Amino acid sequence: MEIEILLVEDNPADAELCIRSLRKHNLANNVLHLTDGTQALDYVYGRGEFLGKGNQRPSVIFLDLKLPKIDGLQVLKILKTDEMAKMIPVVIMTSSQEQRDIVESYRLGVNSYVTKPVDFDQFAKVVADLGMYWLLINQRSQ
Amino acid sequence: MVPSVVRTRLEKTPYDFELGGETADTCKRISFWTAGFVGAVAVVVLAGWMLDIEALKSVLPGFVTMKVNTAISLALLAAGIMTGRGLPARLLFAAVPALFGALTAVQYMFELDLGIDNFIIAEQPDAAETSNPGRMAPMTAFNFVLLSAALVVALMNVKQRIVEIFVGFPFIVSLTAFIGYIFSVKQFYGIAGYTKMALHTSVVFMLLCAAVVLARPDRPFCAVIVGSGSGSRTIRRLLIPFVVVLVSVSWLTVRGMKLNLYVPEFGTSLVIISAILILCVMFWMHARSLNRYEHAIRSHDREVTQAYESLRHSEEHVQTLNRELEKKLTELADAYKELETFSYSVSHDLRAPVRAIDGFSRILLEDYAKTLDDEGKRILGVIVANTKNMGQLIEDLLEFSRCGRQEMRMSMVDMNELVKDVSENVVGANVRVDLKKLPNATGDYAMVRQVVTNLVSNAVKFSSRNPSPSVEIGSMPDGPQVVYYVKDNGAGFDMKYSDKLFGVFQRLHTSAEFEGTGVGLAMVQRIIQRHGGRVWAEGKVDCGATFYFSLPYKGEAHGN
Repeated sequence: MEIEILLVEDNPADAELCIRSLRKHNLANNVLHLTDGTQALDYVYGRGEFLGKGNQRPSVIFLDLKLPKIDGLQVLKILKTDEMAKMIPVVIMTSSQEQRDIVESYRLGVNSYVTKPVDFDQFAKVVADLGMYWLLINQRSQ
Repeated sequence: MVPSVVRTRLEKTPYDFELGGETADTCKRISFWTAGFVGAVAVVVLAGWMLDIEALKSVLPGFVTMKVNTAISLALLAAGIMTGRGLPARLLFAAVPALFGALTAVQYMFELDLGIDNFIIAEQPDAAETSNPGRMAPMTAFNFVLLSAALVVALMNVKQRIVEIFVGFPFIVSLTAFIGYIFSVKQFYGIAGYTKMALHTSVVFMLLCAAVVLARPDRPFCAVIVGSGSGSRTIRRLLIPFVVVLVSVSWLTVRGMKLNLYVPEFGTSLVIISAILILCVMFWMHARSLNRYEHAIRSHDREVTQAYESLRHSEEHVQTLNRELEKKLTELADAYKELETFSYSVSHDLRAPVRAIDGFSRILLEDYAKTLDDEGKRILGVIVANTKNMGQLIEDLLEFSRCGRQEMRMSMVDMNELVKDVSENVVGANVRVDLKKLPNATGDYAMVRQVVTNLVSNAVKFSSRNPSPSVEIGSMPDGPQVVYYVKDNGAGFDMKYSDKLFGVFQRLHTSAEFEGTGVGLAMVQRIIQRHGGRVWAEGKVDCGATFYFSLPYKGEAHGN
């Protein structure tokens, strides 16, 4: 199964709401939800528990900043310094609106930075818009 | 013991202590008229010589005459004093008397006759008390030399006591001669067998000396006598009576001796006892007044020291208070920062759970709509609504704390552009907007924009009930700052709640009347506070409100 969206989110409620919104727009068929950064990297590089599955290239990675074990920005840095992985679009989806985080993310080469709205309606709309854009509108590299 | 404050002053104070301009002028005037009087006497004596009137020449019959040369010299010296400062003039006036004096002295010393004694008007060879007809007394000659020198030097600014010496000797000599006349002691007004000094000559000499001294009241010698200090007053008060009394007592004593009422030793002792008594009284009085004066100074000194001490204490106290104040201010600033950080992190962390509640409630409403009855749906609706509310509060709180924590980037802000832009975005077509010309301000553009947006939105919101809402935005200068105002004709507010206006989440209206969470004005205040300005508002219920804020002013835009 080709995973199109890799969702890296440790909060189960947020993850569920996100997936539900994607599902509503038929974008959730190929979503992989992982709960920490190490898992995400293992997946991308095909190692650890994902050993044998080869390098994976999802269409987009939705990355939360606050993750256990290794921090979202760390994951971003590793991905964007790797020759192969840097071509995968990464969208940071987080509660933080701190300039410090935004600046650092862009400096590391993030493709988009989105703040999760508190209001569910808005959140759902944002997720749906993101899904539509990155899967349908944005051209990915092969 | 002279008190310390006085001692240090003593070293610095000149002794012409408080010589008023008036006093100086009076002295100079007295000098002028005294010299004038002397000159007049001299002229009268000369007239006496020309018209040969004995009385004018020698005052009392049998007394020595004032010689012609003397009269001329006196007149010239007097004129010299009267004319004032010009050195050439004084030299001119002093030259003749000095010459007469010197030549006469030479004549006496070397027993010459240079022909100066009688060349103007001759005197009879049998003139009274005169060794050489027409020749002035040796002492008179001596006096003229010194007084001429005194005249020349007097009006120059010589520091040394030359003038006083040049004046002092003639004065003593003349005084001695005069006393000699009073007590009939011939030796006092004549040396050996030479010409005696005339009575009026002696008096007139003393007057001339006084005139020279008084011509320069700023010189220490004169200043001490004529000054307004207590020392000067003492001298004036005591010296003259002393002299008069002593002279009178002596005169009486001498008279008594002359009439053989008692032996000379008695007379002398009487004079000495009188002198001692008078001097003792004088000194006692002087000592007493000096004591009083010193006492006054000492207690004044004490008061000053006390005042100084208490001033120093106050200063120290003020410094301590300042230090404490600074500390408190730092603590306050820290506490404020902590509060902002806290409200930020709390709000931030609250978002996820609130989102979860909101989301899952909605999922419940959607997915289980069929199994829920109306009441169930209503209850869920309440949950959703309140969660929305909570979400809004959190967002507002986050925004508020952000405006306190964000770094400020100061620049020149074109207020006209900013306000126009905001009005176009925020104000509906039905609202009349009156934009006055606004001066530029200095500030963080984004933050100032936030302030304007909040205030204008408020103005629009609260005038929404008014059938013809209007908003006016203007400014007025206030020293180094500019005060901007946003005025509306809406619901207004009661001034007695004005201090609540800017509190976080403080509202003066219910959500039913006007929506909003009440953080807009708190943000305005925080932002303006960070700019170093002030915010305040005026309003009247149902008559609209005006919100003022001040920003530092910066001059015209550079170039374009």
